[in-house]
Amino acid sequence: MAVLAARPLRPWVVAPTLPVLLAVLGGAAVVLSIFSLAISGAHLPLWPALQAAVGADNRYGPVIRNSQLPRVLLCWVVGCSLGVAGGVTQGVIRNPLASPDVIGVSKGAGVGAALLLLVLPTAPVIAIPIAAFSGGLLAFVAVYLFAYRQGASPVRLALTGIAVGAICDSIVRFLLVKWPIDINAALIWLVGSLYGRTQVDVLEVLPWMLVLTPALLFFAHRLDVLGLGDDLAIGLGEPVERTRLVTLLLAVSLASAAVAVAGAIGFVGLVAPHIARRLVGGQHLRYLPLSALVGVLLMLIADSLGRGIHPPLDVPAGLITALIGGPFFLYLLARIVR
Amino acid sequence: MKLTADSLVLAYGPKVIVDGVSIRIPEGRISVLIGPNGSGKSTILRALSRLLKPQSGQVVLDGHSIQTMTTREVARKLAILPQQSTAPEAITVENLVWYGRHPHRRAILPPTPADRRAVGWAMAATGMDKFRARPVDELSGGQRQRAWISLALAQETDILLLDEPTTFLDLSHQLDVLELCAELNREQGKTIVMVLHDINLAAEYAHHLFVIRSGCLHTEGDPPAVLTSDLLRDVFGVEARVMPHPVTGAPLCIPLRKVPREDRRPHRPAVVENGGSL
Amino acid sequence: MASSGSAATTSDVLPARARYPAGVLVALAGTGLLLVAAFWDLAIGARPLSASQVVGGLFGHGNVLDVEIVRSIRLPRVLMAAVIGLDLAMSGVIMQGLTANPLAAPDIVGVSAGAALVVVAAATVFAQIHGTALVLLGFAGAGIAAFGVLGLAGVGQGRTSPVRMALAGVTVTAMLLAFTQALLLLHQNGTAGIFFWLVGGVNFAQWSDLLVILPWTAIGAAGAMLLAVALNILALGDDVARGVGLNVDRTRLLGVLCVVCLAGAAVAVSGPVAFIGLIVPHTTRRLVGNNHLLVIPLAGLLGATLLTFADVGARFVQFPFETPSGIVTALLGAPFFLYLARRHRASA
Repeated sequence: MAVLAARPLRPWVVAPTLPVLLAVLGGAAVVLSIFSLAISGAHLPLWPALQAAVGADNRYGPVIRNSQLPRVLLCWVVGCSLGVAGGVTQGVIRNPLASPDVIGVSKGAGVGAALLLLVLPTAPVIAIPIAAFSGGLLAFVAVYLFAYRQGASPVRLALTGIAVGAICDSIVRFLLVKWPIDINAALIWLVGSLYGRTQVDVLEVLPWMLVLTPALLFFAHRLDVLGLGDDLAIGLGEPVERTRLVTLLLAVSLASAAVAVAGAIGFVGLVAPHIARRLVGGQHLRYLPLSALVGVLLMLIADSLGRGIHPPLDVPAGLITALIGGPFFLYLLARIVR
Repeated sequence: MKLTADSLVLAYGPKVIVDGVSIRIPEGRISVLIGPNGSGKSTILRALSRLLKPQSGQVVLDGHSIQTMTTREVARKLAILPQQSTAPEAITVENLVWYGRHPHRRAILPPTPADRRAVGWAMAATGMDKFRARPVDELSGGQRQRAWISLALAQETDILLLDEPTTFLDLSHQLDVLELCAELNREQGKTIVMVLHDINLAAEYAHHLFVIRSGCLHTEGDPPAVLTSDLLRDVFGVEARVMPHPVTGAPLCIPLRKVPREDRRPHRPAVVENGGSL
Repeated sequence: MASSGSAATTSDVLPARARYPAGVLVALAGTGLLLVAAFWDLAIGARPLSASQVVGGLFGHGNVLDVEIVRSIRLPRVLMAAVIGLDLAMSGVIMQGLTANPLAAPDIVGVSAGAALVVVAAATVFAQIHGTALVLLGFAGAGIAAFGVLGLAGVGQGRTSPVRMALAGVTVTAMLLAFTQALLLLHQNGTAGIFFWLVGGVNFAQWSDLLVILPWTAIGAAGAMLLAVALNILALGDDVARGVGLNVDRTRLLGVLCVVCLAGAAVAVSGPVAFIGLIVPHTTRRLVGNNHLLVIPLAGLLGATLLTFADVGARFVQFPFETPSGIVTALLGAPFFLYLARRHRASA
């Protein structure tokens, strides 16, 4: 079986195998989820909260079911989506510094959401995810079209992505300046937060994740081949341009769905794949599932901290992921000086 | 398995590099494309391996235009080793060679015994089986090139195209790679097409030379017929003596001095000998 | 990094590429346009003034109110726009020269975001900060961000690819912006005000601000001119530059200090005005060649012109109300960025 050797972290640590890592990280995520259920602005005792979560009817039931449980579930769905989408993006762009944000997703979604929040404040709340999702997808289409010149080279995709992101940023700023009515709501959305999300939001993203994650894993081998460079990949019979478009489109849809409900949460899609790759090496079929789990953990940590750190205030999860992920990114950048 | 090119016009953007070249690759032999820098020899090789889409003309592989075949079909019949390839970080030789099975495998399905055989054979053929567990990064330049050739061999194609496989290698590793090609040709009957810079090495190992000059096929034929001092003057701009190699008998070029541009003959002479002009 | 006409390809950095006639032309046209923009900027506003009223105001004739408006509200603003534009454009030229990277610019690389973060942090801790203290804070932020990103992006260890620098820059900017937003969210009073500041603009510039920034501008601009020849040599690559006797590390250090001086002060006073440092240097090099002796001063002039026009344009966004001029440069500059990205040739 063509399996990349897991790169040992340190010579004296036996490289943990993939199933062990999946079990350990999965277990950690489950434990964290349980504790996270009880973290709230209003103090919830852990045990009754748990009972309420599995259906017992006590006085914490409504809070748990309507606010706590959906948030924890969203952490799983959003973290998994961003982790997988980030890994795929880095694989296709062939640059470890890339992330879904870089090819325009979250910035485009930001424009969509800001348009709705600021220009049409009367629009129903349900419309926001739809606007954000379309914004993200449209931004990616724009990136791809602008980058396409006898094929969309990874380098041009990254650069046009950044440029389109800058355009989206400018538009959002313009909207914020021109319609400064609800600047705070818009800012919180732009940072990314799970505040006030309900069962409905979970049901909105869940199908995307359930369909697109396996679909992307199906492409894992092809992503490995893309990593060899365009010429060799074509030589090996891979329709490079098509695979690149299809996988990016799937990854962008996945990330857009996540961003649509959670706001433009940054750094998860950037950092999770790195951690996963360091643990199990660069073969996509191995590290993408792990990247998903790391994404879930990051989201759980960020959202729990956000709720617990400064109680009445619900610090947006996106801020915390940036605070954790940013320095980690700097560390990575210092390491991959080539 | 026949590989031919029909009046190819190749361009990068608006800049035409190769203008109307027709080539028939002799089956079961080693062909080498030579020519000065920028003459378009690598470009022709890219077109032959469908990495570059011709502006007009076509490449025909086994009776079908290569552009109408799916790239996977092509990859089962023809392997290409591009000039510079970077292996994924920390990958082992065996895992690198496994990539060569990509055109034969289906997405998630486990590898078949045929896949395993091919990989094992490809590593054995290049002598890389003893390094199978070594990371590619740790190999010497020549060994690394062998690993890449194993990858191409694992594709189990009749035709193998190599773009400057000896660049950046020292002399002994250059000979190493070319010996390997000769052996593969002799023992497996593979059709091998290479771009080489070194005329003497080309003369030594090629059965058939294609001489490319500013985007046109200048001459083709077997090395003793093609490599003359006239050709070296006209194509490479070098005054040179050509004499038989004292040991192997292949033509050996000894450059003497550069020829001023105006002394070269501009027009194309007729195709020499068994030239297969279409 | 083979894009023709990018920051510095070895073939076109030779001093021979200075197009002095074009330089004179650009200087004249730039000055003319700057005067037009300045005059227009003086005339436009909630109380529109006619040409004669503006001239009268400048020289102290006519209606007392008009004189007051022109002299103490609009004139400092116009001058500030010119100074900030000059600062940012020059710092863009220096960064692109130092890094041999067409996408290096204070706002893309994170220098502006760093300065903004430190200024916002100080503003949330100490309610009111003015003058030189503010500028020094801007220096601190800009300096940390500049050395950090340039170092991390691998400047000084061979040429950095534009992609790497751009990716590092956006991510660092995103992180610094997140920190800034965290501060804003934790101090919810006056978010909108600081948000306006974060867009960048010269709307509320006063004479005192101008006095604060002028010395730094003078130092930075003088330093940039002194470095011009060294930058020309550096464009040949580190090794060649060392070979002809340039102290490369010292040049880089001094260059970054100039950038910190120019961009740090500009951001501290007017907020991170976007894209001037990217658009203007490229345009200038297109017009007059690659000789820094010519590019640096002319980029300064064109930067001043551009931001003054942008300030005029910003008045049209929501007419009687004020809009930060950074909006206009952002809307102009982002497509320009796209154009640069698209020109990048497929390498690999």
